[in-house]
Amino acid sequence: MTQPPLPLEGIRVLELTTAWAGPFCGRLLGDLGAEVIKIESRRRLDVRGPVRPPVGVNLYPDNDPGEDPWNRSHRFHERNRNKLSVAMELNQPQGRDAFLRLVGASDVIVENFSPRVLPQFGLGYGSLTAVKPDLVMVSLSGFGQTGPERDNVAFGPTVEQVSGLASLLGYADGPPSATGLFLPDVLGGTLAAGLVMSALRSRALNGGGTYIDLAEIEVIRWMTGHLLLGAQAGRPEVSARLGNRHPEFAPHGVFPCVGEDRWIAIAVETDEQWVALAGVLGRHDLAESYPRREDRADAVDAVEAEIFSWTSDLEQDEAVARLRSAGVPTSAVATADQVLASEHVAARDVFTRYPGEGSSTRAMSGGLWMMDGWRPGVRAPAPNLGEHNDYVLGTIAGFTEDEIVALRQAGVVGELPSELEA
Amino acid sequence: MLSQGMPYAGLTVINASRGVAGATAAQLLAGLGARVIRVEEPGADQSPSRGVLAGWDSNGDLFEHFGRGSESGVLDLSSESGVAGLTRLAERADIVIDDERPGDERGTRGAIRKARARSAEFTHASITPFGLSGPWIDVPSSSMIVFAASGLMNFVGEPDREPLRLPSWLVDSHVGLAAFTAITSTIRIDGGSMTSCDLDIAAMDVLANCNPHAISQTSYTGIVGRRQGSRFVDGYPWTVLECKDGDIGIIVPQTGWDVFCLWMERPDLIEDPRFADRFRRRQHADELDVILTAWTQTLTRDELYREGQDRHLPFGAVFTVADSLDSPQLAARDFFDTAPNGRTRLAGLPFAFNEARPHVAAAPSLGEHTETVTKEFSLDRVEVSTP
Repeated sequence: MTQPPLPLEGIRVLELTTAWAGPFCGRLLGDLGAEVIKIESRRRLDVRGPVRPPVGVNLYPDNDPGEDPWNRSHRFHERNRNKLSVAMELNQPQGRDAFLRLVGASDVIVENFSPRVLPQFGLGYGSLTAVKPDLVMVSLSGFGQTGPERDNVAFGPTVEQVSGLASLLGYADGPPSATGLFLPDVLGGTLAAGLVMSALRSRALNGGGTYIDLAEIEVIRWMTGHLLLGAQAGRPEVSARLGNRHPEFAPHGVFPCVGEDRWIAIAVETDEQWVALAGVLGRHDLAESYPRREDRADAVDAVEAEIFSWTSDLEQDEAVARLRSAGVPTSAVATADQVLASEHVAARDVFTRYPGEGSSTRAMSGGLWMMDGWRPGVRAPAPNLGEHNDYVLGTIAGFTEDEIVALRQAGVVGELPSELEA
Repeated sequence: MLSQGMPYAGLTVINASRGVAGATAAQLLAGLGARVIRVEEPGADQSPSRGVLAGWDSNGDLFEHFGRGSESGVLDLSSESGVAGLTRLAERADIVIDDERPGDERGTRGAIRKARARSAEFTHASITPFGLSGPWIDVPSSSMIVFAASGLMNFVGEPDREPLRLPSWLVDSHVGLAAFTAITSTIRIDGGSMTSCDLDIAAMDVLANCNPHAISQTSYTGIVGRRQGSRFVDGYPWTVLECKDGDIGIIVPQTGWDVFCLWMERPDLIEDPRFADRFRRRQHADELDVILTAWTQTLTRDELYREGQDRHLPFGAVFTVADSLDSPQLAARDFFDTAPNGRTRLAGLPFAFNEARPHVAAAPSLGEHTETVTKEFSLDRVEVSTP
């Protein structure tokens, strides 16, 4: 399928972000055609990895850090494809002024700094709208731009803990757990991209800009809002940690197969599926003994033990095939290499191809959805540090060559990590 | 509900989906001004045919929360006239959301495609487990199944135990967030009229493409990532520990290690070669946990949270769902809405536009708007079953 006109062509986004939430939002916007300019600091690199990686740090193609490891990290590439890079220090007056010139030529700012940072640079929303009155700006943070905890330091796991998510996640006999997926950042970044697009429409219809304040703890609290109702109605059990069990379905769990760390997930949601599962196990007596969900829930340990006994003697693929052919919802708990090798994933081009050395390519996360049969993906590789200084400062911001030279000489812009210039 | 000045004021969304994902997307669109009409079937509030939002949640909490912002119009989709009615609604809609799975007999998607065939211009957002194409198109599924298939589940849980699913309906509402953003990408940012767009939103695709490390890690390095419990793969301390009266999440970045050791009154750890940098601390995480746990268990959750944050360390108190009701941060930000009963608090929409948090109407009763929708869209009348 050929690429359709991209919805955000002609839109320019300035990205002041680090780690995952902000870059993920910028990635979604860039995948949809926006020109995303990532403003980076050479003193505090985003997830470009260590400048001098210790032995054993594996972030690079074929585990080779090369001469410039800060430009080769898969983490940076995955989050920042389709973007331009300007390496500029905003804490210096010339950097701040250069940034304001860029703002005047842009449509959107995406940022995920702590709330105090941009105002400290004199770059709060009020200052920015002085040069771009219809600016759309989204500030992603852990706790929000206002309130007594706004300055709390928040990584993704911090938000999971404070938002109640960690209390819900874990084994029934174990402590609260982290997702390991930086889930609040993914959710915040996804929502932020949609809100930016809606604010751009508002600009067209109503005039004026929009300042979007998005707090990740609120995103999680909203997504678990139904549990809050249960808590207020005297149903604290709705917030219990259940492991892989489910309050409404049984059996519902993850079971071991032959081999190291091989598992399958089984989710029986109807009595018909249960009869089918019992048939696959060759145990029609189980279907008769536990015909209803309530019966299975009351005897869940015994039911799960039967399934455990069956799966433990089977290869993962065989167990999945037999259950699926009987209409039982099941899947291998897939590892990354299994997902990459999946026929279904290949058929749908779920992952995009990222250019490597020579004509090689490597698989990378693709667009989250397909539109008219086409999936957004990589159009340009992630930028090297400061790779587009001249283009952005010259062509977009209107600096002369001499002015750009002066900025370099003052250490305001550059293409190498500061650590290497010390 | 229409809101003057909101980006989607004047747009009509037909939500013919049953699940949490479609409801999530619909509520966000409603909060931004769209009119959302939820198409439901007779007796839906009495049986699983209303789908997961009521039939599988005997207390009705799911619908009371995720059903907000919508009108409810009942159509008998088992009848020809009901299906024709859905086609007529779709013809006049700007956005239509459905989550029909292969093998489902409702004919929802077929009815919507008929509207498309009549040159109606709208966004059709199809939400499915594995998409509208590919060999797994009709594989029996659920949110845990797609989570397992996507590769994400392999990263959740302890390394020496079974992988874990995400709790409650988080997977579904995550997919709903992606569906919302996908839909907004089809609504013209220049304010122009809708054009035709078919969105194929597969839960598998959303999840598989949201992992920050897995795919490129494997394709670049050959390393196949796996779960680390609450730890991080190449940094430490980064974990959840028991404290005097609960649990505390602690993360100590490289720049905070000295401050942290001094707080623990263990300056000796600063010079300990086992803990010289975050990579070595990760290698010696088990030894470090013995030291950390002995310390955290002398302090309360709130002490650790407050004093860790005072030192600019990303410490996180493990709060419960109910704890949100006492959160000074959420109260200061006016996060909660109030239910029609005047007492129960509802989680508000999670964003503010120009310092104002949008609000949505309470969840409708079944068929509450059938009369008005029927007249407005010239549909055949359907008798609504009363409970």
